[in-house]
Amino acid sequence: VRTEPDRFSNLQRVLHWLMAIIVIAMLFIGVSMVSTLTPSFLTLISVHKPLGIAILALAVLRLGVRLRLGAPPLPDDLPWKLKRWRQSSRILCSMRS
Amino acid sequence: MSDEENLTRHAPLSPSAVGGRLALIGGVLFISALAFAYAGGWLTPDRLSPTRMLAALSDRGGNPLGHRRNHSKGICFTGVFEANGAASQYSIAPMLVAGRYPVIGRFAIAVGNPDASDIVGRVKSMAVRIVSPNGQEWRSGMNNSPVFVVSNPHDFYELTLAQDIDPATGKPDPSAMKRFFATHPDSAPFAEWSQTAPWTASWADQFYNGLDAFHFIDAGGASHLVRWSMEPTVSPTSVPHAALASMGPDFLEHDLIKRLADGPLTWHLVVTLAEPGDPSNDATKVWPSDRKRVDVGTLVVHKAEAEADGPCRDFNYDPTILPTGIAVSDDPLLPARSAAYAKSFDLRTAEAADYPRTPRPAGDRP
Repeated sequence: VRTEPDRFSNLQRVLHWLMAIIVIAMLFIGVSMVSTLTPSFLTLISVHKPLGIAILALAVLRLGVRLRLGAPPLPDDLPWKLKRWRQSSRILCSMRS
Repeated sequence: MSDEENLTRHAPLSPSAVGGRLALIGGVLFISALAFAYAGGWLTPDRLSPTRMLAALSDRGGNPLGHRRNHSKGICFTGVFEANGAASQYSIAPMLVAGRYPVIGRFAIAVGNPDASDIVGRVKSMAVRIVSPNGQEWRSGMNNSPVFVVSNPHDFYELTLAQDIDPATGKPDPSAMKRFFATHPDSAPFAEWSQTAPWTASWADQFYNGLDAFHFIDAGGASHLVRWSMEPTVSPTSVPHAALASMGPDFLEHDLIKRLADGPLTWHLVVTLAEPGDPSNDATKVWPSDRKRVDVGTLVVHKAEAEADGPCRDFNYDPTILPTGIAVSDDPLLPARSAAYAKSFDLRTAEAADYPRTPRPAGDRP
């Protein structure tokens, strides 16, 4: 059994915030795209598509990094329901495999 | 974890500090929500969105549910594009290399009512999807008018509003269209064509013009501004407009099926090359007639099929879906068409139950 690290690795932090920026950008690009008839429509859609693929690729990478490096324990003062959340998602993941 | 860190993490905040932090979080959320609402157009209801455009297009009589919201009445065709290779010096598009490429297309009339009588189809159209062996596609929607009626999406929206059905009379306001043309001088070339061009009872004898300008990109990376047309090989038979009225509501479909029973129909794809100064962004203006024209291949139409079960039904003939070697110009109609067609596609595919396919006999299922 692997020991849980104290904190997320730098790689995981970079992945997390990079994806946060891209996902939020995608929301804005998407909602702008479907509400305009101007030439920006073609520009926005040409950004939207590769960004969507990038999110998929980063999510796969993130999963691999997580399986390899693990994650720190949840804080002690977190409500038990939120802790269950991680347990249940683990159970779900193990059921799939 | 050290005690010091624990103390820091659990140090209670004063009520005002808590309030300040909550206000900060709320402020960030509020500004984000505002920016999101702006991006989505909810703060600028006057912005011309695909939703507004499609609402106007849908309000021109009949029941458009499940159908394209413009050029709503049409028929699918299949055939082959036989490229002769003459365009290869201007574009590296794979379907312009000499060879045969499958085509799924559609003939239609530019109306909003899928049950309209063909006699109201002043503008007839041809859409094509030409596929190359490596999976690239060239989609094009072309009209039989030599120019488009407007140069930009805003004018098109106004024109569409002029065709809206007045609930009191069940018909469009007859003065609205006159008012539109009186206030839009750019539309005069189209209006002149509309009033003077002979009517025919066929899709087969019409020129279909791409109208918008595009760039052909050659092997050296150089760009050539072009427009293209499908030129018929059947000479037109003029029919007085009054005589069309006695031919029933679907004379175009009957004519097409009758002609195809006798053999395939063909068009020449002719590319016109611009000279410096020819407008790339104004589809209401013809280019001078002495421009170089190149016959780049032949479209051979073999078979027509009703749209409900036909192969063109679920294609979106978005004119910005182009192969390597062809690119959009700065014509503002192209992005507007792409955005509006996408919205129309979303609507009609979600409404598929309103436009049922013909049920197949039980024994016919694969």
